[in-house]
Amino acid sequence: MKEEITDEQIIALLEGEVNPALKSRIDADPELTRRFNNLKEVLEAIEITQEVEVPAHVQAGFQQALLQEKLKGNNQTQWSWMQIAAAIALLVIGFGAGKFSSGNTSEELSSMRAEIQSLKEVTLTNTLQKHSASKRILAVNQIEEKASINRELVSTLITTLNTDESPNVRYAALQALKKFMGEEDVKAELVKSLEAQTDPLIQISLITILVEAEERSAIAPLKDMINDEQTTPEVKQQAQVAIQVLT
Amino acid sequence: MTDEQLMSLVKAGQLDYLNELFSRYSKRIYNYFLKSTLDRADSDDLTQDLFIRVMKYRNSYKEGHSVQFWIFQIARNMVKDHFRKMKVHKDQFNPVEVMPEVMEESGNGEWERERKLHQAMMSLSDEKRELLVLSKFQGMKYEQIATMRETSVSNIKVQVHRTIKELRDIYFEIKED
Repeated sequence: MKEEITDEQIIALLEGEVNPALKSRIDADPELTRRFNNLKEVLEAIEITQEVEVPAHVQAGFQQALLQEKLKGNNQTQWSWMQIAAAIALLVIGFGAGKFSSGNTSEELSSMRAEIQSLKEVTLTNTLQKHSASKRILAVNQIEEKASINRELVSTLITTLNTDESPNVRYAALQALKKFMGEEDVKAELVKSLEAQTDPLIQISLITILVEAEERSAIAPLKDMINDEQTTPEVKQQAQVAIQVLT
Repeated sequence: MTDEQLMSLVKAGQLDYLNELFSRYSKRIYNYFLKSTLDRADSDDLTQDLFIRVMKYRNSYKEGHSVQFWIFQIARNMVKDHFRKMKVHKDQFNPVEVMPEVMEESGNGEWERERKLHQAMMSLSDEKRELLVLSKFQGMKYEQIATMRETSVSNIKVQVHRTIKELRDIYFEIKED
């Protein structure tokens, strides 16, 4: 009596195992041929399966994360001494404020806090206009960390985004503005800013933010960017992906 | 340049080479996630997260080791976490979800066969489906899967063959529409 043929043996044959004796037995037996053909159909169905293309927004999201990582790497070394100086300054101010506040009523104190707050905002705006790039980034980050923000500071961030000479400062301003993408006028300003930006990293970052916000009014300036000879191939590619996603 | 050379450069801080790794692996990884989770939106997120993890944990890559193996190891762990976190309602699964939009009913039965295949895949356990995705859809060798799953090659071969048999039984039970 011949040994029974298992499905495992047939699968091994279909996977490329050379076994002429087994193949002859299968060909000679209708029941074995049926089992062979059924397994063959399933394996062939797997083989012909087509792969799905990766959606454009997945690549856009990764590009954004990559850009942030690169900028983080650039900023880390420049910033260490600034962070130490800022921490010392905060300690001194905190100590002074503590001593000063102990003898005041709560009303006077809150009025004083409002004045200090206002002064700080003016200082931040001034810092953005007059100081070194690293101090300007620090000022932008301080604005970003504020729980509430007024229209003037948003306007300062937009001006910084469009006019600051340092790409790192412009990038920091853009990241700070991301928090306000719920505001229609901020979105409109970022769309306008597409025309003002020339640095590829800022352009790509701006495109990604506008795609995430599903801002369809960006399509026209994106098309202009693609047609502009000055635009780099990477930015053009990103703009094309963005148009596909937004359309 | 090999994947391993690219990854060494990334590890050395030249992050732009990640774009090349993204081009080489994103489609395979995306389809791995898609066939494992059977969900497009989740596969979008998982694919993006995977490449962000490769970037963030680049220093944990051991130089000279297979990048493909490392990336799929990360992907496998992500799928496991995904199933732990989420309750997948397979009764709501639509097999067309994991098929390309461009693929239309051509009349030669190809579309229908693929639809039936994905429906049958849905009935497999998560572990068996992953085994089939790695071995048959991703074309990984049994040796590679055995290393990944920390078991013997013969054990993987037996498991794959059993899974194919199970898939065949389900596949031929499904009626054509």
